[in-house]
Amino acid sequence: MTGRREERWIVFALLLPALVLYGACFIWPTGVLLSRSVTEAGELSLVNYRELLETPLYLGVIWTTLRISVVTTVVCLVIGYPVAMLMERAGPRARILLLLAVTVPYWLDYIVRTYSWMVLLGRYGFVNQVLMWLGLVDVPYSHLSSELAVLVGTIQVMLPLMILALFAAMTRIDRTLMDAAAAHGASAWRAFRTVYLPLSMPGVIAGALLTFVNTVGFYITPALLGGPRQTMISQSIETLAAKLFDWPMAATVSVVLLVISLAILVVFNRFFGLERLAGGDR
Amino acid sequence: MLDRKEQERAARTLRKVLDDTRGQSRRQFLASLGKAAAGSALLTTFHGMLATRAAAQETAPVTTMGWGGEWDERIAAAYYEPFTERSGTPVRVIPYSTPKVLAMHEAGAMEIDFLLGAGLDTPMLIERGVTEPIDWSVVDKSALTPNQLAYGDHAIGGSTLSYVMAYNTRRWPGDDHPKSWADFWDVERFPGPRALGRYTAYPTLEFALLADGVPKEELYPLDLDRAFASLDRIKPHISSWWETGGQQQQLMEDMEVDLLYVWNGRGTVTIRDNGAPFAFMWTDAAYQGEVEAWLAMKGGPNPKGAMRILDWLGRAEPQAAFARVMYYGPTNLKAYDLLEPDLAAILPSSPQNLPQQFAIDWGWWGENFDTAQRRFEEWLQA
Repeated sequence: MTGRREERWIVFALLLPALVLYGACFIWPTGVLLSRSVTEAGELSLVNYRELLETPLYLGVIWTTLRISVVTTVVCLVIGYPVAMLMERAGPRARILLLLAVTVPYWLDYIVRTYSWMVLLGRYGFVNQVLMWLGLVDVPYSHLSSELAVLVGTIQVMLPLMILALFAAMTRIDRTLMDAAAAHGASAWRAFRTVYLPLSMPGVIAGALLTFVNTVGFYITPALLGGPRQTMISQSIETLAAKLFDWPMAATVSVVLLVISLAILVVFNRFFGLERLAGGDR
Repeated sequence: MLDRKEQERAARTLRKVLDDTRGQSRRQFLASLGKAAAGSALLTTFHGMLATRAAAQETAPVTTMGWGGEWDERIAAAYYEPFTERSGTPVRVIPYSTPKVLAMHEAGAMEIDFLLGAGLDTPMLIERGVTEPIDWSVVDKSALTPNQLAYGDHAIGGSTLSYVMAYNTRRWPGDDHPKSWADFWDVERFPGPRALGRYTAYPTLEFALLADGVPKEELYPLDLDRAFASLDRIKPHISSWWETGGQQQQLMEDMEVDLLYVWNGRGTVTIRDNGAPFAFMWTDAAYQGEVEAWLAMKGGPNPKGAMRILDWLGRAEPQAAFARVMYYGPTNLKAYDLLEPDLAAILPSSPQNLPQQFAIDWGWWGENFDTAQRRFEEWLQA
């Protein structure tokens, strides 16, 4: 019994640096932020939240952010799933090549990747040059400052994360189960649908969660590739804090961003169990 | 410490470099500036080695904020390094952030000694009591020109810029190019994608009113409804709304648009040094005036150092040097005696360009920025 207690103290002592860091760098500033959003002239008030709900601008920004994040997540999943599956099934050498192909762009700074898209999608960029050469367009029009450009950017940035999350889950699937399904007469499609897909769900959930929560907080990509209509939450926090010095409202919008991310986590936890993200069984 | 005599010597060195490099490119000038600085830095080191304790105290740094990258390097080359050479006082630069200045003031923990207030920051910081009045027993008023004191005892006019129209000379090589804001809005006569600034609502709203036929003398107070109605007409033809100077450069260099307005300094770097095929129209450009000014901060760590560097920063010599490297205009009009005519011709405050422009009314914007900016953001995202 005493051994158990001692062990607990050791665990606590080892965790202390992380706890202090977490408290000082996350809990405390988040608390200050929260308090700024619910006070008006020193008194407790929800006036900022009412303003947020009554201003079409903020609702529009939230809607844009959710829309871009959902589309990014879905597209990453659709593109990433077959790639991850291929990686999982490939021989050792091909697997390393594929892994490199996925991770090398991920190591490249995402600002660099975003700028590359500006070069490709610009008015006299590569895409338009090809279109002009093929005779498909004569007067080029820029593809930038559009939702499509933002999505191309966010998808490219997030795709490696999605693939790696899927791949990690797929490597844990027992391959003999698919053989067993085949031995019992299941078609390849049926074996995939009833055995492989359900077993790969932890990867799907982990990938979707990572992609969505990261995309919700994007700043540089929509700022460089998008136009005013693609303004996302982080950009409007910046506008409020640095241009209008409206810190209570900036805090309120920040809290909304935090709540969206937390809500997603709660929903996932409710339906799938977050412990599955770590690969554990329920 | 930097006494009057040393001050004069620093000014002379700069004058000499400016003279010796007349007609040379920006890069050659920068190299010469660097060499001059290296020579005297050696002297400073010897001076520092011999310094007494009292003198050593004078070498406590002065701290300011900067915009990073090339901007900081250039401003240091023209303004700070010549000061450090002579005084032994190093200048420390932390990233520019207006919210941070306000937060430091509120907390009574001011970390900076002086600041080149950007845009509306100058009047706002003075009004909120964040600045210290200038000590005219340290700062030599006679070295300044009267227009630099637009904010009385609280600020000294720094370098200035204009928001100026730039058109693609490949698209319109002849004389038939857009010449006015009405032309900018005329998409039938001058078709092609355009860009406007999103960073602030000024002076986009002014340009919209000029395009709608409001004479520049009658712009203020701005008729917001009319400005937004005018903007509604051009909105579908604006393919890009820039937020930063970097974006302005990219839009011109990649020819993303045929017509836009830019900060004249960034624009000139892009056209003159990087070869983008664009030209300026100074007619009805928006002149920023003296709003970008040097301020001494209340409660900074080195208040004496702040006054001493302010005695240097408003002078003609560093302003002329900065005009050579960043193409922003001096507000100390004596600086034009130190600049060659072809450079003066592309600066916003030069005698030939100034009368063609209108001055942004910062008094009006100070009172209406919040309303106008919010409405502008809402309009942009609608």
